[in-house]
Amino acid sequence: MALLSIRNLTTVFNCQEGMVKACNNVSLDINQGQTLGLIGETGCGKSVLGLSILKLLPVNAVSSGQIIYNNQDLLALSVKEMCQVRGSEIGFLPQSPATALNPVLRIGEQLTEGLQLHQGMVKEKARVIAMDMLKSLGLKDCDKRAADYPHQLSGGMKQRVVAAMSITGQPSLLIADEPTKGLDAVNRAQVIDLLRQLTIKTKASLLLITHDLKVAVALCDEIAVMYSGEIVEKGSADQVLNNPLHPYTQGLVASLPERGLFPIPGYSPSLLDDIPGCRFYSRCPIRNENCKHQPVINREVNGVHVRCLYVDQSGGTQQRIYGRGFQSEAV
Amino acid sequence: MEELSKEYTAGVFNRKRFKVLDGVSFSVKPGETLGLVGESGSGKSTVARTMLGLIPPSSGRVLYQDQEVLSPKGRMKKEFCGKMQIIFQHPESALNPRMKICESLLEPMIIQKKDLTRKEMKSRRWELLQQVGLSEEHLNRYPHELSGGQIQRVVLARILSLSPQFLVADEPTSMLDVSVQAQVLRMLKQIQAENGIGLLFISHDIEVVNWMSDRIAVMYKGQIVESAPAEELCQNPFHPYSRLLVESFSSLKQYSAKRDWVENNYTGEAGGCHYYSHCPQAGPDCRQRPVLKETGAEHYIACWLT
Repeated sequence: MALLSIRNLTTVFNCQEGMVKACNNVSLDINQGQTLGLIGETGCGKSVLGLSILKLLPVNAVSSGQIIYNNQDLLALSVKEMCQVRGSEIGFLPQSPATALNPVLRIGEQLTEGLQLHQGMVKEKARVIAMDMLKSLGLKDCDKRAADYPHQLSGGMKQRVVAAMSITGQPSLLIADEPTKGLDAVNRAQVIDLLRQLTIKTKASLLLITHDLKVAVALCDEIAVMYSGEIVEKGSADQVLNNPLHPYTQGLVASLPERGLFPIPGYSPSLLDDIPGCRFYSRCPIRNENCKHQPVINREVNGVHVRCLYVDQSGGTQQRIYGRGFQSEAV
Repeated sequence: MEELSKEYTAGVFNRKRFKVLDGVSFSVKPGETLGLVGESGSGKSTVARTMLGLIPPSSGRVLYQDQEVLSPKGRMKKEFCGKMQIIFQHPESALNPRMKICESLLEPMIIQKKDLTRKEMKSRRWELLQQVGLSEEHLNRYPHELSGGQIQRVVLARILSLSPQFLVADEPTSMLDVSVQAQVLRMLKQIQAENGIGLLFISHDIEVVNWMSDRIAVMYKGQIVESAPAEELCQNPFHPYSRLLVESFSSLKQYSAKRDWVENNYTGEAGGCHYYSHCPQAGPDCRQRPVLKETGAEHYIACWLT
């Protein structure tokens, strides 16, 4: 039984220009203790998916489908019931720690606040626990640091404080939204260590939203690739990145610096457009007429779910695409 | 670029001095790419800005074809500005949000190339658009209507319109996705090769730098600690800090305990190796300031352990 299972989730934003389909028929499962990586480019709907789970989207967003967490459908819960879930059941690690902290409160207060709220502790006890948490995440002289304001901490320290805050409610699922964005190499490695430590210590499942393939490989058991609001490929981390089946995933892997930096030509389609066929059609090197009109369904090949009409059972399209498409069309 | 230093002072009563750049020297040949890597706050961007005279250095000088760049004023200065250009980290803030792309593209030519007529400028603009892979429909848009990769292309076209000899790219792709990053970097490299531009490529992603550059210099707290040909540096980094950088890319898989959180504290000790407090191999010698020494073919290291 999966801890969280998302079934046919569609999130639509009603805007002046029309309906923006940020998530289109997304289905995902996260098991207890598993780490799932959600990768894709900017604007493909990764963060919207994460926020849909927590129902933290603005009012003009409408989600339909099912998000089943521990046998209850989160989409059917009232605002009050949802507050019980946020933090204590599902924790959220926001994108930039610098803006996630309240600049006018000392970090000790911000940490104990969560403990008091979720676990009903008295202030003194919460303080002791908070110090323990900071210490276990490797922050030096926590007693002194707890009296600091966020601007007095370095980026790495803030990240640890935010991480500690996200687990104050002892959640069994943690959603981390681009935790390594804009960090340099050394800090990035440290954040990865931190997340790994967190998942081992709390035994929580992790939904890691990132555009950094290397981070995903380092941390995740399973990887789902998202493109233009749809999950195009989903499977174990090793398989998806070492033997990608979908042409988009292949393009992503080929555009890594150590694989030669071969770009995918073109740009992704607007989420406003309603495309009957494959959404990757305009950029795909192995497209043909069928892809343009025929709706593409998910298929399973060697345990990997892939949304493409032309993946053969052996998964042997890879060489062909590398040889022709990406290299010759490279800008 | 020779012995460039930059000090900032802060505080009114208790004046503190921060040495952001500490005697940085390097040179870039025509058509060559020098990569500059280092963690955030190591002074990479300060190097870029001081070189172009956007912030005045505390001491040191910058030479362009044996001529002092920072002292001239007026017309001479304008001439240098045309030849040395910079691509900023946040391209969105480099374009005027109230100007259409077509106006933004003409602006540098109007300022720098007074001898061109409007018609010539427009035909030049057309060539540039093709060079960076944009189409005519983009001309009538405003910057906020373009994606990050497209804006970076517009910025590049603007710079190319002045046919610069030397270009500084200050983390041009740190805000972009991998596939768009690949597009922009390939274009940059191609244009550089076609026009023989000297490039200083600043980034914290050592793999991207390795792909782009001929030589790499590693910066730590305002000093260049190691500089070597790109291949050499990635395979045999010597300085403990360069090793940490290269390792943190190759070994994301295992947890390593020695990888402690590096904290930025500019205590500004007089003398001594800046890396002393974090260095696993620090010895008594390291209390004195190391100097860059040549240890192999074009391999320079600032460390007492050599």
